[in-house]
Amino acid sequence: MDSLPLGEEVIQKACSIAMEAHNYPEAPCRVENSPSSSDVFFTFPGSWSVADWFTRLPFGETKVDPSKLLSPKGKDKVATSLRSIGRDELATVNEGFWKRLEMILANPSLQSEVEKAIADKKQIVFTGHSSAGAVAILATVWFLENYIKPEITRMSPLCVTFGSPLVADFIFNHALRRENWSHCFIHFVMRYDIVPRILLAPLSSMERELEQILYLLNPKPLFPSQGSTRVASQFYQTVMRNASALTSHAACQLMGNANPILETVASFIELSPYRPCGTFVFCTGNGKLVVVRNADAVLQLLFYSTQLCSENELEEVAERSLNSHFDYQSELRERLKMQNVVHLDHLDGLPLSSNGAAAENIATSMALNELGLSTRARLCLRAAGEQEKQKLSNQQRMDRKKADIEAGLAMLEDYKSKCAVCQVGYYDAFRSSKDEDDFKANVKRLELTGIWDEIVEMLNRYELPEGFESRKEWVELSTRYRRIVEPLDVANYYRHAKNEDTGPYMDKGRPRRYKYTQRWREHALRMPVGSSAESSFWAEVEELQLHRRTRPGAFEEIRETILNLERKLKEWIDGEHISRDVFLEGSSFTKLWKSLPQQHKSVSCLQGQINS
Amino acid sequence: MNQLFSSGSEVASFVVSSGLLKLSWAKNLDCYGGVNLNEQHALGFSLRYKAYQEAKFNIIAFVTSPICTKSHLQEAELVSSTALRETFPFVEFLCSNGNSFSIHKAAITLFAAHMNELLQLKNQCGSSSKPLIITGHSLGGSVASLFTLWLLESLDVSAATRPLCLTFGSPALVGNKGFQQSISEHPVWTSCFLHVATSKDSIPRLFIPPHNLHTMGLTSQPYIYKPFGTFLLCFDMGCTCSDNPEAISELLVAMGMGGTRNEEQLVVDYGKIVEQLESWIIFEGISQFSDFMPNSLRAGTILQLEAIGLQKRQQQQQQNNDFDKLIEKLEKLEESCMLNKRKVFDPAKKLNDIKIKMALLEWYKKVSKAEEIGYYDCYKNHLSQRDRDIVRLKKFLTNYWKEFVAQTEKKPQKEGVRTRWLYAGTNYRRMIEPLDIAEYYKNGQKNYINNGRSDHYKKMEQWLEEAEKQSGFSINSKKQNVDVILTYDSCFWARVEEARICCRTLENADASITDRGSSRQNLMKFELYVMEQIKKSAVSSEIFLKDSSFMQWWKEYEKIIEPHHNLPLTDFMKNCKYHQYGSGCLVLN
Repeated sequence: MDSLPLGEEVIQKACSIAMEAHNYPEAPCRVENSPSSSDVFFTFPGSWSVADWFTRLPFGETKVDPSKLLSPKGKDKVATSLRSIGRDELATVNEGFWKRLEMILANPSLQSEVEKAIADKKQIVFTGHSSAGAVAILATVWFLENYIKPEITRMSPLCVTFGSPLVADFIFNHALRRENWSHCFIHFVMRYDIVPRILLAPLSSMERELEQILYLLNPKPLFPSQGSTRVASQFYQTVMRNASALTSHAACQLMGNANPILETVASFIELSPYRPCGTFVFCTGNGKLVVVRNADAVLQLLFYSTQLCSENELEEVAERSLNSHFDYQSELRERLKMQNVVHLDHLDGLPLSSNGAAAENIATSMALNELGLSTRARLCLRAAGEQEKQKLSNQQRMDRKKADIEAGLAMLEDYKSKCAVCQVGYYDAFRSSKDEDDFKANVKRLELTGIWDEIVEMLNRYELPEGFESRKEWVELSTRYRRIVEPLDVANYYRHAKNEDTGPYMDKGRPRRYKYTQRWREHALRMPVGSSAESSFWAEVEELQLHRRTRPGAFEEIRETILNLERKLKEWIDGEHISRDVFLEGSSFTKLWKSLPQQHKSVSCLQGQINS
Repeated sequence: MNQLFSSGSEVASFVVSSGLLKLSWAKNLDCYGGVNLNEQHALGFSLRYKAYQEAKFNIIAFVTSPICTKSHLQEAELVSSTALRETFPFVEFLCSNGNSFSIHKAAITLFAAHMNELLQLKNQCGSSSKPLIITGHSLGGSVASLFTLWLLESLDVSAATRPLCLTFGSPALVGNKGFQQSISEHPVWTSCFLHVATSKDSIPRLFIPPHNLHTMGLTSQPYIYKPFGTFLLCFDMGCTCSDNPEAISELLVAMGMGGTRNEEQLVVDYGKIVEQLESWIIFEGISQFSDFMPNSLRAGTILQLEAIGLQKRQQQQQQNNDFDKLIEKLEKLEESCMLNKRKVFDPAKKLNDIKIKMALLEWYKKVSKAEEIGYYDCYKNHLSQRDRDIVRLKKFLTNYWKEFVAQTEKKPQKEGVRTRWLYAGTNYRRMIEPLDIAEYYKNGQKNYINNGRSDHYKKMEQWLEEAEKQSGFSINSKKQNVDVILTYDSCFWARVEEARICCRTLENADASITDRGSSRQNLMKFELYVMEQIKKSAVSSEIFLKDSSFMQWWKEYEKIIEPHHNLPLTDFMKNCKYHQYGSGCLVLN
């Protein structure tokens, strides 16, 4: 029998203290650190006011602010992990929950407790029920970014939530998966619990009802109160209709449907940006725990598992959609003992009908039945699995092209050393392109461009596995590629005087394949944004040369730039990121440097490197 | 092989849960306001329309009084676009390249009768920034479709949010294959049309062959006319969507024959249908396959058919056979649709190959230059294996760009050509067209520009001019280095060849006086032209290579220049100022 990704005791404990936290709304953060336990629990009270859930229309969402919580101390120029690297798109999170975390962190107690736990080498567990689960998720990310990323500790935190609303968009999930943080997050969701679905609907569709519902859900007052069934039915239908729009839209994409009416209709309505992240454990209410890791599949399940069997069920299910929000403790107490756990892993081959499963699939089939999944729902899950498979196979296809890339780079490296022998750097040889070798190098450059542009194109459409941009071998290969080939692109750009048409290379002409891969390296090595610009060195030289030609007397205008470039160049030469051929007799850089005023040259940090 | 899916039900779910159907239907109903259902069709139809301003978008609804029913359209009469062209100039844009479409006469008549008011309405639509829904019921829906097409034609769809045309139970606007293609190849246009049709309503399938071939008078070309846009097909408790014209035809016909005919209603209440569909979204649905079904595509297809009331029945062998055939047909359509999607001409994928080929040509150009002849004349003389290799390259590039131009031309002009392609295309034209010219004149032909020039060059040149005019996009700023540029005017060499022909005419003692006169005049014009290009630094310095056709021309011309002749180019050439051309120190006034 399958098991859960973490121990039964931790779950029970987390659940009970997460529920208990609601009783102390005045304590923004509670710590459970008993000397006898190896775990430290951090939990938060829930919030039941609409303003905390939705700070604005339509979904209360905001881009993460990389300058605040997520910038690791000291290295403030390092970009946040909560983004896609190449495309450089920031994740979106719920602003209300984010603000709550900010408020909690404004008080240093959480930090000091966390650091104490690290010092004691204890397992840190962030937990929360309902909206407190959302805060726990964000707190975990804060911890990962500030303690795991800078390697202050290597012990992964855990985040266990119960009936938590969704907190962030798909880029957030993309980033967690890329950083390999996804496994830290475990979310328990009761089949009918409405709360994890609420943020799939825009505030405008349910403003009044939401207030009533949150009031009903607040564990303090006793319910059911008068008329709650009617409100609950209304609310349930609103949330489900919006969830349906979102999930069917997502399903069309998973299935590769290209009907353009989708885009047109979508432009008239509001679709929630929120997506699941981490591992979900669905409690069927019938004895099974169903574990799902594929975020696309989780989104489909959030809708389909809550559908009705028949019309007469509406009121009953609507009531359950509220009541079951508080059933986690009892449900888990019973189920964990039975260890009746099913992992939905091979989604692309799920049985399509309730009784059509092959023998080895019986457990899966029963779990799907208990979640009430129709054939349509199962097809959507299959499509989610198929897409995951497709991403992997794209990655394999690119991996197979590595040999071609390596061969191309070897040829160009060879070209580079040949040019150095003739006392001209390959940059300048290529720029004047007089010989057949230069021309052959150009063809090789273009062949490599084809491969890298394909990768960029796939990244833009998120068609590669999330981890692709942080795979060590690709980061290294791309750096090698960038260093040897980008100078050729710069040379080509200025050789054809494209700067006269479009402006400087760095502003307008730099291809995405270099921007993306530069970010890969900066991210992998936690370097400040823009600091690995060695491959575009020649573009700066070209612009400075141009300045010297057109305004020879105006050295002062470029003094700072020159000083800066010299300093960087020295570092790059010392680090062997740029080879010494830039100092060769016939090199553009040597010519530029020699044209500088004597006064400057005599004190330059490059003085002595260049024969004058 | 990847699993294929049939996702019509998902699209349908999305459309229904968007809530737009309910909203639009309500406006239709409001627009009808007091129309008597049973009013007789004695005085013909009158058109009613109304514009609504909602918080987030505007809605325009079109209906007719009386409500148009099947009985009104029994004597269905289709008018083809060719017949329409004279009366309605706006259909012109839909009929380029021999495309045609047909529409019910009643619709176009109504439209025509209100042309002026509608024009006003159209202009108002253009000025609002809010998204727009255009809706209509039955015959009103046809008018809504026409109005939308009219609006799209004048709208800059890339900039504005596109409108949505949502019709309920309206007779399909059908077009021939050419129309179909020209519209569907422009995704922005097809993406604007959503037609709701139910099996209880026969009006939407009125013109779908083979249902009503006789009344349509189109028996000679069955199956050629197809509906366009996305159809939401609904039945009592379910619905499905498709934008594939063949699949829509099949489904509409199957729905008509699926034993539901006797349930046909005179006036279908779409309000009730929409409400039902919305409420059904939250139900699991009835379908649970009883048999083992490994194939996702098959399962999805059967689900779609079930949703619109088509399924196997016991003891109806013939129908079940038809049903199986229908499933197979739909699956094939889905498969070929997916395959096409992969095969679709994707210029971006090939662009890099094109660049590699261009790099090879650049090398050819370089080598020819080193031989002091230039690639134009090198190619014209056709001496070595190298030149023959170039023929192959040229063919490859030309095919690519011809295809690109053809594809782009099918889309409305307004979309514009993206900068990336403008660059690459201009580069191609300037590099390759001289080779075409070389071939042309080598074969002894004359007057390339008027008689020999391929259309795709003309189009590409036109695009560049348009882009320069519209956005100030510039590809021709004065380069410092004329050594590396390609001559801007890709027909430069044709003009040189014509000038050489003129020289020969003048040398020919038999030439008539008129010929001599016009030749001399042409040569003067050519001189002025060349000088202007030189001043703009718009010609490559390669034209001055020792063995180039241009220098040949000059030698021939120099001999026959009259003594008092004194144009700037003569001075420029005689004094060998071209040696300085490109060095940056040439001073011209």
